[in-house]
Amino acid sequence: MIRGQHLLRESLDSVRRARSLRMSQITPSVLEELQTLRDKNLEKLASNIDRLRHAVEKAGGHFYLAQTPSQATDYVVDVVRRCHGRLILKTKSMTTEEIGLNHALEAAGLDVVETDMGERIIQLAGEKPSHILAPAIHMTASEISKILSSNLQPTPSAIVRHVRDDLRRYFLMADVGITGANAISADTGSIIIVTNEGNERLVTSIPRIYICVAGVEKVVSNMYEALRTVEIQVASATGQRLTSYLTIISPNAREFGEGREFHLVLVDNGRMRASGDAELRETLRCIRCSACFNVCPTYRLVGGKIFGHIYTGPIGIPWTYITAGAEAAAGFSHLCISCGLCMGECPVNIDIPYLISAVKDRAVRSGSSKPPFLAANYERILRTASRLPHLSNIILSNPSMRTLMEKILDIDHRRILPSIPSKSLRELFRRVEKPEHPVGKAVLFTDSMIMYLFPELGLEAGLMLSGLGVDVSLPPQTGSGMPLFQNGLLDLARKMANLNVDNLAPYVESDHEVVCLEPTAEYMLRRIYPKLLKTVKASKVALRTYSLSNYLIKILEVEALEPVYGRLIYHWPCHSRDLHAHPPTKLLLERLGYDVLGLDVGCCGMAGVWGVGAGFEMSRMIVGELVEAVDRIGGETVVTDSTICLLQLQQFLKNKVIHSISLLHENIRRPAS
Amino acid sequence: MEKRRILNIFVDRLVENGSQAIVCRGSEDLYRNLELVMDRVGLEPAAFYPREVLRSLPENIINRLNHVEDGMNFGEIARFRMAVTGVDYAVAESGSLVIFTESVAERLVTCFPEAYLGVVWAGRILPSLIDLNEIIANGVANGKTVSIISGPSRTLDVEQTYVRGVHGPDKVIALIVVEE
Repeated sequence: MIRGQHLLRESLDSVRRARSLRMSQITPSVLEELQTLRDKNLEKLASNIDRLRHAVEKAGGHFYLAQTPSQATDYVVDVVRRCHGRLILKTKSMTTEEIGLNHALEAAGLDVVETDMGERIIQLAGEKPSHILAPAIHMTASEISKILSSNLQPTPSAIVRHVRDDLRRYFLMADVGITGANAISADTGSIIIVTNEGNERLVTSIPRIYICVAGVEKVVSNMYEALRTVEIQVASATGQRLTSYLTIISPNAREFGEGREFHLVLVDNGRMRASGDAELRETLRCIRCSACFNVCPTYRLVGGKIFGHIYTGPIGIPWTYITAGAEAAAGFSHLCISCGLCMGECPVNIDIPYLISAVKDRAVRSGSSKPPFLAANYERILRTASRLPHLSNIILSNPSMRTLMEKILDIDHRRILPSIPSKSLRELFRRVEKPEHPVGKAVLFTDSMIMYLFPELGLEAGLMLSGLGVDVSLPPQTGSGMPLFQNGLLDLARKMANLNVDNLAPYVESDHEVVCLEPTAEYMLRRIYPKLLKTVKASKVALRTYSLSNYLIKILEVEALEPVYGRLIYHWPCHSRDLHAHPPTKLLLERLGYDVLGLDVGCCGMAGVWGVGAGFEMSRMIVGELVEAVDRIGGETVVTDSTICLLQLQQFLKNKVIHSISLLHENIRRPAS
Repeated sequence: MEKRRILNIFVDRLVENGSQAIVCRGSEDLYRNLELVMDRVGLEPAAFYPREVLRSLPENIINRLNHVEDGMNFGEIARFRMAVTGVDYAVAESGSLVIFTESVAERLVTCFPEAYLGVVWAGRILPSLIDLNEIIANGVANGKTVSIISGPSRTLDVEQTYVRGVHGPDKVIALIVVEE
């Protein structure tokens, strides 16, 4: 058990519930407007920075654009020294963490006191924040009270009272106040800061010297954009309508006429370069709400102390690449398992999974990371095994050979693998007949697992569709390439994508639909291939691609063969969640008459080759949440659409687990009319 | 949006964000309620910063309050456990009190105390934060610092438990004056 894991999970779930409710009250057009504003701001970032400099200096404030972390810290240390400052108060700020400001100030003999409750606890504990909004999310009240005082009651209220009283004396003595910014309005130089504790009000008012340190991406054109940004940031971060405090402080404020100074230090540190990088610029659209953290299966397990460098969580990977380089990003990017759940949470629609794969790709190219052998060679291994099923099965059933496989192929010996079938899908598919009067034309795209390990599912899908009157065929194809994408082998993934699109495109041109038998296959064809290939052909294929369930619902309008009764538990695979607002298979099963209970948990933790190989141990821990949920429901049969999920659930659940294709194959027909 | 509806939303959202709302029918009702609230909160010493929106109060109330002036020692301001000021605007959608300040003392008087009593005129409640955009832009252009208060000072930093009164007030009470 990882320290604080339960606390972390509960915290993320509670934030997510509040967030979902609040975000459902915001119209999509507002989010689209913000996305557009963020993109436009990126285009005019340089001119906005010029406007901002002009506004700050005209109002009598000081402006400094730091290209590097050391330039920024040197500037701040110089200001503090020049003003004979000793005690510095800070609010929570990721940019100051990024540039190592506390360290630089302390090295200069200055005292720095964090004033955010969680950040202060972390500072006194000498730890690293585990979440950008809730730095001490991983610590229990008992652990915190021991750090603060030997005789402090281990209750949240006693802890808060203690920290409040302790910080009060610092507030009144401080010379310098340093904050970050949630947004900066270029036309007036106004800094917008939100908190729930109200520490920013004291940090920006009492000390003689006020310094704001922020990344250049925080600069927006005007107050309207600043307010919009902050409003959505708060909604998406905490689910609130507004935080308890929102402060707008400007360089021309009369407050600064009382002998006080206003300094704005903007930090570039790779951001301007990233704004010109077609692949990574989307990162700068981020408003730092951390909604992507809530659903990330591996972050939920290990938290930001492991899943992060300075920036943590899924979006922390591209942020780390931009601000600290490939090696720092490679230190934790392998924890992203490309489930795709994060993108669905992003209020400004950042394609986080793609960004992460692009970062992994660059890390591999620069030699900062090495892709797992299994990921790079999975298709070849599966193809070879399926050509020699008898020998392969002897190897798979021999414990010594499994140990050897772990060493050579990185396949964990504890992973229960299916036996290799004696007949290939192509051989079996000969049984699928062409209907005399076809009602539609479809090609199956199976992905590697069904092609090599579960061909009977491919056959069942073929028989079902042909029985429903569809002219169905199995064109030449390779795997979808997800393991390559997942591990940042984008050139290899692109090759496979090209091959598959070339094979499928002629069918699409001749009015076939592409029916995917795995959610991952549909995800790759619809979401990843068009972005990887950037061709019209890939987009055309994407437009005609369906999951099997969606094809049955939308194109064929099927019904139950016989009235069916029964209760099922349904696990919705991650890649299908990314593509569909509601689970198509659950809808279909309900239409057939089943009472279907959808599991309210995210990823099962398998994540393809990751859960088979290097990620087995974490994968086993992630599935724990799902196992608990199923155990609470009872002994019903569990249904899922992915063979990858099937392997995981069959290994760890006590329940019977079946693939949706088998269930549909037995129960479906077209309406008589 | 009609005024009655805006007022109702504002009151609902104040309660939702952990503040308290008292609707007063005119000035006399405000003074009566203010006295009652001060009695009920019962925290002393209490402070008053005269602002354009609320320059003075009746003698029986003002005698119970300490006037905060610009240039006052910050340690002195930090001693006050309750504060009363006028509020420039309010936002219905988020239950927010909006204060434009010109001095540190004026800002600090609402930062430190355990209870903050803000007097807001119903005619100054705007539907949403975005509706406040131009007013904020004008205020900033005129050298004002803007504080938007939407509930008590709070944290969830320790085991996700909601604790109020971290650095600022744990009680925020809005006295909303509806002119007949």
